Amino acid sequence: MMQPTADQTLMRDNAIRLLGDGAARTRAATAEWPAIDRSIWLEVCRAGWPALLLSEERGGWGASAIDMIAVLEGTFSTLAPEPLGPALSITPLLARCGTKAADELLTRLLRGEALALMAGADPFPISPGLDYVAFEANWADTIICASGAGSDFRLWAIPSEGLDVHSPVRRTIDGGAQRVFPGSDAGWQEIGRGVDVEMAYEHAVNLQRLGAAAGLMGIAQRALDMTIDYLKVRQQFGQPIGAFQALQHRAASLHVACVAGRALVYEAGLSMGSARERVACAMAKARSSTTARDVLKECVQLHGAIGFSDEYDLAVCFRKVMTLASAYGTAEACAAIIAREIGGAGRD
Amino acid sequence: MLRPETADEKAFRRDVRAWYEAELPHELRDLTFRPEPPAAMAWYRRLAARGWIAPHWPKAFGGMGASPVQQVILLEEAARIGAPELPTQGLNQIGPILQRFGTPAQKARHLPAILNGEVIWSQGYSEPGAGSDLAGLRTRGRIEGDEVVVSGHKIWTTWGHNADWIYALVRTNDAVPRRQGISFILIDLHSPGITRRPIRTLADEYEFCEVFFDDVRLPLDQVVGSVDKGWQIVTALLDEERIQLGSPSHSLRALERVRRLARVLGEDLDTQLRARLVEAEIAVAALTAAFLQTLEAVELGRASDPSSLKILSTETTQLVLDIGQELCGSAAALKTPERVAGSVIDFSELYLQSRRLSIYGGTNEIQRGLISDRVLKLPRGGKS
Repeated sequence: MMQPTADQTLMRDNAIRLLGDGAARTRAATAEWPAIDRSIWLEVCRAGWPALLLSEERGGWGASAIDMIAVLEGTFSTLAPEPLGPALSITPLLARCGTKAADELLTRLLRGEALALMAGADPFPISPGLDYVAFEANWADTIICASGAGSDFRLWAIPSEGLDVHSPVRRTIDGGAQRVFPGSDAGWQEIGRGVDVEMAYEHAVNLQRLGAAAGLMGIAQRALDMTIDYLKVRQQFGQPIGAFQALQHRAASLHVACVAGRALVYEAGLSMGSARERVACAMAKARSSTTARDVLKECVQLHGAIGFSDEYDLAVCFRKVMTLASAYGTAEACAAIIAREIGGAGRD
Repeated sequence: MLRPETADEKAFRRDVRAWYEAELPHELRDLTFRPEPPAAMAWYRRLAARGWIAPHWPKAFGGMGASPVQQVILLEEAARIGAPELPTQGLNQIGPILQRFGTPAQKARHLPAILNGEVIWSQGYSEPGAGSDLAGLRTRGRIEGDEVVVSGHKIWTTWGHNADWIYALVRTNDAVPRRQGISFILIDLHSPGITRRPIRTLADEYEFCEVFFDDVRLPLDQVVGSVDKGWQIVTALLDEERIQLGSPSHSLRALERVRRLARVLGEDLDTQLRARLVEAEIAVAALTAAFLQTLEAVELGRASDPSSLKILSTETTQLVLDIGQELCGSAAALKTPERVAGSVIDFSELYLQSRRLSIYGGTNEIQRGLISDRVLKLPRGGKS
C-alpha cells in the first residue's frame, strides 16, 4: 500500500510529537466544556502547521494533498482536540479571496490569534431552516460560509459571538461543539465573491472532507493496533484470546477494511486538482466514515467490557470517529454527491 | 481509476480502446463464460501479437513491463467492451514461477509458448483429501533413474480438461516431515496414463475437472527446483507474483454489468438502488486504489500484502454482483443474457460463477489466517 515517504513520515512525526498526549487534552476539554485551552494550538501555529497547504509565495509550505493526508492520519490518531484539519483546508481559500477582510482573517489564523473555520450546508437538517452546520464551533472565532453560485457566489464571515443568542453551540460526544444556524446574511460580512472564489471554496470543502477521511482512517488504525495488542496479551481459557480463530478472522477482516479505506484516501489525494477531485473526496469520506465506524464497533466488541469503559482511550477513539463521520458530509451526503456526479447512467 | 492520467496514459487508453473496438470480434463480446479454447486462444494470440497479453511480465521475458496505471487501463478497457476472460494460469502463475525458479531449458521451452498462446496451462495442487491443507497431498512421484513416475488424483483443476500442461505438486519422499517431501513438476497432459473428467459447476458450466495419473512417466528434468523442495517454491513465490489474484479484473467486469443495468433502468432507478450503485462504485474505486498502490509499493521494493488484496478483490466482486442481482429485479433468475435497450445484460451467470473467487487460490478463510499470522502476528494455537 501507499506508505508516506521519509520526508512525509518526518513531518507527520514532528506534528505528532508537538501534539503529545491528545487524548488527555480531549478528556480535559470534555470536563471544561465549552471552554478551550489554546496553549498547544499556539505552539502548532508558531510551528507553522496551519500554513501547510498555503503556497510558498504566501508564506506557506506548498505541501501536497498527500503530505496533508500523511500528517492528518498522524495528528488525528493522537486524538488531540486542536482543529488542525479544518484549519489547514481553509487557508488556501482565504488566500484566494483577494479582500482585505480575508487577508486579515488569514493573518490572525496563522498567528494563532483567532480561528476562522468553515461551516457547510447541512444536507439533511434535523430542524428545518437550520441550513448550515459548523463543527469545532467552540474553537471558531469566525465562521466562514458560502451562498449562491457562479457570479452570484458569495463567501461570508460571521463572528461567532453574533450567533450565540439564536444559535448557541451544542455539545458533541467527542468533547467538541457544533453550531447550526439559518441562512441569513444579517450581520454577515462578505469576504469574497465570484467564480474564482467559488472554485477555491469547492476545493477547500474537498480538502476538509479528505482531511477528515484521513483522520478517520488514522484513528481507525490506532484503534485496530490497540485491539491487536490486546488480543495478544489478554489471557482467557489459559491462552491469549488472539489465538482463537474466531477472533483472528475478525481482526484480519478489520485489517483488510483499513487497507482499502486508506488506499482510497491516498488515491483521492492524487486526484486533487483534477476533474475527479469532488467525486474522489466524496468517495474517500463516504468509505472512511463507514469503515472507521465499523472498525471501532468491532474493536470495542473484541475488547469486551474494558472496551465499553471510558478509562481506556478506545472510548475517545470511538466518540471522535462518530463525530468525524457525521461532519463535513456524512456517508449518505457524500453518496448523494457521487450519484449526482456519475448520474444514473454510471460514468464512462 | 480516480487519479488523473498523464498525456501518455490518456493516449495509451485511446489506443487500447480503439484497438479493442476494431479488433475484438462481436461474437466474443459480453460473453459470460470463458469461450471454448479455439475462440479464446485465437483472441489470446491477437493480444499477444499486439504485445498486450502479459502486461505485468518484465520486458526481459517478452512481457510488456507495463506501469501500474497502464495495467489498470488495460483492465478497465477490457471490462468496458466486455472482452472475454482468458486462461491465466500460464501468465499469472507458472510463468512467473519459471522466470524465478526455472532452468534455462525450462524457461526457453515454456515461457515463449505461454506468451504466444501455444499452450494452455493448469494447476495441479488440490486433491480430494488436500484442499486448504495442501501439504496433506498424496499424489506420488516415484524417482526411477532419470524419470519420475506419477500416480494419484488431482481435482478442481480450472480449465484442466482444456489444458495442454499442468504444474503439479507431488509427494516424492515419505521419510521426512510432510512439507519437505514434495516436488514441483511440469507434466504434459497428453502423456500416456492421464485421464481427465470435467466437473460441472454451480454455474452449470465445465470450468474445472479432475485429473487421474496412472504411472505417468516423466523425465526428471521436468522437476522445477530440486526434488523434495517443491514446497519452498510454492511459499517462496514472492508476494508480488501472487498479486494478480487481487487484480480488479473481475470487479471491473461486475461493475460494468451494474452500470449497464443502471443505464437501462435510468429514471426508474429508485433512491435506494441508486445508493447501492454508488456503493459499488466506491468499492471498486477502493480496490483499484489498493491494487495500484500495491504494484507501486512492489516497484519500490516494499513488502506487499497479497492476502488482503485477494480478499478485497474477491469480496468486492461478490458485493458488486449482489448489488447487480438487486438491480435486476425479477429478471435476476434469468439464465441467458439479453440485449436490452442496446446493452447486453447478464442476469445471473457472473453471480453464480463469482462464488468460486473466494474459494480458489487459497480460500478467503486461509487468507485471513495468513493475515492473522504474518501481518498481525497474532499467537498461533487454538486453530482447529
